[in-house]
Amino acid sequence: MAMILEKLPGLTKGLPGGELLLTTSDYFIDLGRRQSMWPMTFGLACCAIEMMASYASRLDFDRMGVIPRASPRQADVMIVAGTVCKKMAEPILEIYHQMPEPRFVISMGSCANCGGPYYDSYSVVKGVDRIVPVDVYIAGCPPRPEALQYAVVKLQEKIAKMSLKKGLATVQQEKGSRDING
Amino acid sequence: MSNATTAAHDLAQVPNPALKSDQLFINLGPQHPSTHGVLRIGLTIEGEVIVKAVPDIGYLHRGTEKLSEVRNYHHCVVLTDRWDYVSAMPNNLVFCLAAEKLAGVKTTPRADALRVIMCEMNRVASHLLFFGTYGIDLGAYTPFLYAFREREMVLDLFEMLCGARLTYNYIRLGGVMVDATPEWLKRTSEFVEYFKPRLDEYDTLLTYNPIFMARTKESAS
Amino acid sequence: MTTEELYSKIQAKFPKIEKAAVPVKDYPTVRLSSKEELVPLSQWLKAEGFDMLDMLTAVDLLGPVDMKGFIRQQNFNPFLPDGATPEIESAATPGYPYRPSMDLLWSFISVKDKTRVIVRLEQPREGTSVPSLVPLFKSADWQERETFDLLGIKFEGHPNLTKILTPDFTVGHPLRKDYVHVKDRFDE
Repeated sequence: MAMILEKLPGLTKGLPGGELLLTTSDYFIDLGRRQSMWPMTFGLACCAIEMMASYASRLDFDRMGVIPRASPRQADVMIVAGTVCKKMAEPILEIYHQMPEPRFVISMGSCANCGGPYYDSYSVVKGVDRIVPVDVYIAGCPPRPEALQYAVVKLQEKIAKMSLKKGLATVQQEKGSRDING
Repeated sequence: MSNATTAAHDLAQVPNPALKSDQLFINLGPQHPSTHGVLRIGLTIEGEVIVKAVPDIGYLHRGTEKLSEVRNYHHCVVLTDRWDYVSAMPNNLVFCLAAEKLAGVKTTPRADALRVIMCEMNRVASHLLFFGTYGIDLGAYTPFLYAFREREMVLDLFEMLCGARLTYNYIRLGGVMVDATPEWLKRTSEFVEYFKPRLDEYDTLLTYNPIFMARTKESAS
Repeated sequence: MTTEELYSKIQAKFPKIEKAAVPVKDYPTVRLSSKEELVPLSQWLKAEGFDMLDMLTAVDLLGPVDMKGFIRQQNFNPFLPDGATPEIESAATPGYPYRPSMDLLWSFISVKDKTRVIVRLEQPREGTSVPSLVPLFKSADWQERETFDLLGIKFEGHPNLTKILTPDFTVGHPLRKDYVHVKDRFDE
């Protein structure tokens, strides 16, 4: 970034408008949002281990600006990794509402997508999208850490399409959640 | 060095009894900053000392026993992987041993040897994870990265053999899924030789670290 | 002490307790004839050095499991044509003596000797309760809560016999063979 700013006068000298770069405020707001997404560590079960592996040495998440934050109050995105049990459903909803907007949800693993191998269990919610609106689904049991990073890239692309006109909301947030309580 | 240890150590102990603080009830809810799964503990604390802890479980109760009632024995092996997900091979093994005993099935010696090798490698991976996350819980971020560097190597070996990194479903009823190639065995012994000096490295990183010792030594009374 | 010694000691002290018909693995397994013998036997076992209650579980011997307890559509395999029967169904094992009772199982361990004793007791499914081992073994606390939650066996004398694993709105005891799942707000 510093290099670009230094070279900026040189770059803009040749532009027809002079030393001015035109862009949209959407671009910059979305750039800030997507290049520094801070997920909340919400590992429930086995997928949490793969999530931890993607934060660790081999596949560093920090190079994408993704730093885990412990508290939902400081997080943008909630990566629901693991089986969502019915007893856990209400805490998940509370935590989702504690996250400040704009907030996103990545559903990691087949248990969070659709119930997974426990689809006919009496105490498993069949997919976290019955409780919170999900932006990106990752398939796998557990998905590889590279898949999680690709999902973050996809979410970044999705955020790049957010605009002020629509109130800076993603499609999921416009449609509203399938909140069973309300 | 010793001054630092004793000073931190004194802080951890209950201070002079004339200084009585009120008890506070805190809910260490199902979501923790440490990604260790879900457990809810109702803590009664007095200052920095936990006086009473009442746990509440069931947030990851998936009903595997009930699900096994409508699955074949082979299908149940898939569900066993997920009990202790950091070390999936021993879970598979215990279920397969029980089912084989019931069915009266004998395994070949090579399969038995492979099972033992897999379980021990998985023990290495599991303990590396324990070591890394133990450090992270206390604030030591570096051992986590070191531990996961080696763990990734172990997981690479597993992936070379059975295709999965975490929930292997490798030990099946009657034996194992695939045989191990000589190439794999060679790589495993290379890994073992590489790994032995790493244990000393972890010792210098965490085990004899004065801050770690001050935080963990004699912290429960 | 070896299995034979243990059996002879138990039979000398408690004449009504007999060896179980089918031993669990190769551990000494005894079958109680009534629930009143449980507490004296566990006290004696604790004095003999079996100081840990490892496991408490039960088997529901009513019959094959009722498929209404599971939330699954009849033809859940999308590759089967409509009307085809699903492959996995719960069917009755021929020749198995199904009866309306629960077979409880306690497992006591001696940590020093590394030996284990299994105690079995058969109780009717409804209406009766079993004495609790909480005064003797601390680990019986949660084990009995789990058995109560999942199977519905009551333990008298337990300080806090409440649900531990299933969510609060679960109706019934899930591991029973005749459990019918009541759709709650998370199933659609």
